[in-house]
Amino acid sequence: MCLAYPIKVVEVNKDEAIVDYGGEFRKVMALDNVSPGDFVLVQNGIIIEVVNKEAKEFLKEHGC
Amino acid sequence: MGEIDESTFEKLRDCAVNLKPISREELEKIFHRAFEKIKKYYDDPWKIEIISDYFKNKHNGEIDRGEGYYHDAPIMIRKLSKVHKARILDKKLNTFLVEYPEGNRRVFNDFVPEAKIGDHVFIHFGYAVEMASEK
Repeated sequence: MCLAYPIKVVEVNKDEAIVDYGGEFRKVMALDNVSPGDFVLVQNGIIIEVVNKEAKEFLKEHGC
Repeated sequence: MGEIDESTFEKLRDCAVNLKPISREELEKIFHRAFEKIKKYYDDPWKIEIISDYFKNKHNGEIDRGEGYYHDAPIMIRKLSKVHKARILDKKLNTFLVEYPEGNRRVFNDFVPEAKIGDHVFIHFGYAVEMASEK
């Protein structure tokens, strides 16, 4: 099972990114290529996955 | 956030990584889908060899057949949900970049901190779960 919810990348600066946790902005590590507007799964302050639109919609609807 | 809140997730992670006890009731509640599936195949889900056998030999088939939760799941979700054998390409912080037949992925190495570049591990969602043999 997964334990993460797709959240939006707002800003990227080298290996750090700002993500939007529903209005609360947090700084996380971006160890792979991400772009503002991407939806990502974050755990322990690290972006672990970039999810495509299909996956994002599914996770938002069904949880995980 | 999905089915469990952040504090429950943190507690779960802390128990897993730091080997702290957590009740079977709580685990069955959090991982209810996994336990439903394991109980389909085995009488007693609380044996490590049974859990291991389910995840290594049955779980991917459940996903491929689109059982339950996976019925409408897009390809990416199915890919993330499966258990794969992967080879470690790189290490950064407490993560590995791994390669497996369906591509490359980043996973946390908390459960196999001793693994090195070139080693093989089983991966599931964002985690390297266990060491794997090469073949």
